[in-house]
Amino acid sequence: MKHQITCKINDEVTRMEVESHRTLLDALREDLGLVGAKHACVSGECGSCNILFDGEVVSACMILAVEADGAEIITVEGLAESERLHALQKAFLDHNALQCGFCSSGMLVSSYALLQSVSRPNEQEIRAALEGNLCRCTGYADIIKAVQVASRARR
Amino acid sequence: MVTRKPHIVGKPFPRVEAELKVSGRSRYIDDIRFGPDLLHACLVPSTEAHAALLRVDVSAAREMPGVVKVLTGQDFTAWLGLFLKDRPLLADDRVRYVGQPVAVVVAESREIAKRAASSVMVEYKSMPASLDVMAGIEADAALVHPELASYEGLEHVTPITGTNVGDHVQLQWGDMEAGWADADVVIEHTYKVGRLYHASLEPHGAVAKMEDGRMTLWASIQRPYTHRTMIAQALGLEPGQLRVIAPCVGGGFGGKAFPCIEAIVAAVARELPGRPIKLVLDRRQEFACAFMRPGLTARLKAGVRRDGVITALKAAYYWNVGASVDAAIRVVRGAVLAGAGPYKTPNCEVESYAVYTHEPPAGPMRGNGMAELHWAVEQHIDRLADAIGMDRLAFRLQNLVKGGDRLYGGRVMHATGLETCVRGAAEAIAWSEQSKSLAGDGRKVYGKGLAAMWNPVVAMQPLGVTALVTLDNERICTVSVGGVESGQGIYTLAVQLVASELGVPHSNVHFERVDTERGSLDWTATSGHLTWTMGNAVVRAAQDVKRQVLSFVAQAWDEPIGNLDIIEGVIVSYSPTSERTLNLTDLLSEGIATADSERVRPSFEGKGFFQATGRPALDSGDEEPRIPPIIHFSTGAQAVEVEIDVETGVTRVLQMAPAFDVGHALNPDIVRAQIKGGSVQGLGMALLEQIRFDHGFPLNRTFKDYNIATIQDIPKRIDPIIVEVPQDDGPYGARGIGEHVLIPTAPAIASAISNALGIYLDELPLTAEKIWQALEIQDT
Repeated sequence: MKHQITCKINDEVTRMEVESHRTLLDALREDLGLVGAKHACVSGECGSCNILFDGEVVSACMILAVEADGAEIITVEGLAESERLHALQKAFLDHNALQCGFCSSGMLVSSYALLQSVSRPNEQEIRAALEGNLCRCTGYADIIKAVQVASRARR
Repeated sequence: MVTRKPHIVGKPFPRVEAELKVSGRSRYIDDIRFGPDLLHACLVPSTEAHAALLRVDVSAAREMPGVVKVLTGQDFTAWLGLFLKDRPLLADDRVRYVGQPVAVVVAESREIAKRAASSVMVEYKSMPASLDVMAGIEADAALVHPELASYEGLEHVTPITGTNVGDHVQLQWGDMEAGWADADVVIEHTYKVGRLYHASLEPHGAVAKMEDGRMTLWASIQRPYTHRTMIAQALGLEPGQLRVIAPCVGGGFGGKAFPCIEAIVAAVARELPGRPIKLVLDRRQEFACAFMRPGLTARLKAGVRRDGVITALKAAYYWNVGASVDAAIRVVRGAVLAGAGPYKTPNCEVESYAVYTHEPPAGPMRGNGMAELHWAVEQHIDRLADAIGMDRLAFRLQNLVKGGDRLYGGRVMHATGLETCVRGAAEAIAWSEQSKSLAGDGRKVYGKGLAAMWNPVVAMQPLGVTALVTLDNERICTVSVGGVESGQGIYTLAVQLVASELGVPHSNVHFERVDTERGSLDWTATSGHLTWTMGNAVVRAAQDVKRQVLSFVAQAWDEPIGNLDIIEGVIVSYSPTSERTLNLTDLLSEGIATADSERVRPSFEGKGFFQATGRPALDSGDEEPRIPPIIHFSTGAQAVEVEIDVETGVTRVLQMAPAFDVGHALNPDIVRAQIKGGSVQGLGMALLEQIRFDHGFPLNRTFKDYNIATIQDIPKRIDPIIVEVPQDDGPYGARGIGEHVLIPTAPAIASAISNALGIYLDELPLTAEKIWQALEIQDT
């Protein structure tokens, strides 16, 4: 069964027609071309498809698209302001906080949500905020550093 | 006047592809749109470890609306193998491991393909499976490949007929009897490593399309040229008929170095010309249907004198290669070359066996055999030192291989920073203050550990590598290499090398993703030596294109080429009378008036080729041809401090000090990033990771059950140490790094645990449960 939904994605009001069983991740990636969020485990275990959903970090693979009716969504594509990278994106780039890049979108969104609630997080808070985001390349240390740098840059 | 800026090689330099990645604009295989014609494939994996296929009933799937094609191993026969063709694309008359693709379904949508795949009824007749590597070499074991003697490529391996040994090799030097006689203490022990999983965040994925007799394959792979060769061979295509394109790759770690599902997608595309066909594995299939790390059972016996001299060493390595040895041959061969560890061993015997089992096929994985082998050797070194009451660091320093030392077969060790690495790592964790940190609060105890490593870069096939550097008006400068950027930073290195060699600003240099149609042949995008092979080829290509530019301008200006140079993108003539200049970009966009006053707008293509000059492993007359040549050894060390909760057995790594000799760090930031990432992967290997099997069935096939290290597992401090003893034939003296960083971490952590608790654990991973049990036994 198809449903008409309306939501705000990266500050744009978006109307979609989605099947009941369609995940929000598939709708974002395949219907809207927002492919920053990744299909990596599709069971909510790795954080690679993390998005901001009404201010909360969620894995888009664990949500049905119909649930997004009326929601406000931010994906990695929405972090930069026009052409200017967000401080977090800049810090990830400057501090080698990424290698293959497959986890980066989710990692950035989770970090963004953290900085929304805690402006100067300590290491423990960063670890707690990112413990659901798996990365196989970097060993995380440079990600912690990048989040710290970004939090200072935003002041 | 044009002045030269300091060149950018050896300096930190931001990754060239990072901006795309942080903004979500990088295109991985699953992100590329192929339009409304796209078909979706889904595999039907085996649920038995060893069984005859009595019937594969695909009738329900074929009748399902939206299903376009269903193929089984009965529809076509094709075997994969770079050396030995021992991997059928789809199961032939039997299955040899759980997860082996039995059939593939193609449909108009992913959902239909999945539903159709689950409707395929497979009737198995279970057969006894060989699931233990040591039982598997016995004569009465169930054979994984009873028809091995008829396989193609048999000249590349040394199987033992009638057993599951698919390949074996041995090496011996010195006088073993004299060595044993000279020993004060002899220690014999067995060490084990189970099967591990690459766990790239991006699963395997491929899209193939056949059109006008030619096929294009887009795939998340590490070695497009290897894939092209192997898939073309398996399907009976000419290599020229198959074009392979690698988009952005979300991690490989060796798991994408050999084809698996890509070949199946290509086989299906051949049957359905005109339409692109896509297959991206889901995580559960990714765990079982692709590759795993080989397992290892290592039997070591060593003799040592009270003065710390190792008198004799006998090592036997038994590799569990699952149902295929092909992708693990280098592991088996390399093991004899490094099998004694980075130590002086005048009398030594090393054997290495690849043993087939009814488990998923072994593929290379970061540290390719060396991480497993050092797990055994380094723990044995600890036991030897402890047995004669010598400090573990002092014992290592006394026995470490140094530049100029004679190895086996008359081979002489090249200059190496191994000792500097070991000393530096030990110092970074304040090794000498060991006893103080051992004072725990009763429940928590602390320990320090250390491990050294060496990794012989071996040449299983000629390592010919080509790079292209083109200059044109459109993109100014483009560098194209055959190796794939899978996160290791290879495109950034290529851009740095070209900018430096050619003398242009790095913003003028662009990289091109691998496309076998346009690119440059490279077999070697793995094994941590891409920096060395590709780096050399890129330097030569840049030099070649520079020569072409200068000779073109010299002719137009009627000056000797020796007067000209390119500095910061400006072509400069140093003639004594005047200094003439021309921007390279102007030359490319507007051209230059030639001697006969005709204006020509040129473009240039420089080519660089690098062929590794591997020296045979053995220089003596009775050379064993089955042992591949060694190119050079990479060396390094890891030192760690751990905290163990004796009531729960939970181990936390507090600090890591990894040190590696990289020859010359072309980009120190990227080198440090590799070292940190590899150390944490090693931490996962040490404490967390292992595929658990029940009768050949892999049980933990999700990230919830197969735990890779999370951000909560990493130590507070990881301090990489870069040591630089130049590689004589490396680009700017550089060697590779990516592969080596995983190798010494697991044994260093085990060493710290035995230091803290006095308990030796011989089987990975060192879980809380194992440590707790060992403590209980110790108490009783």
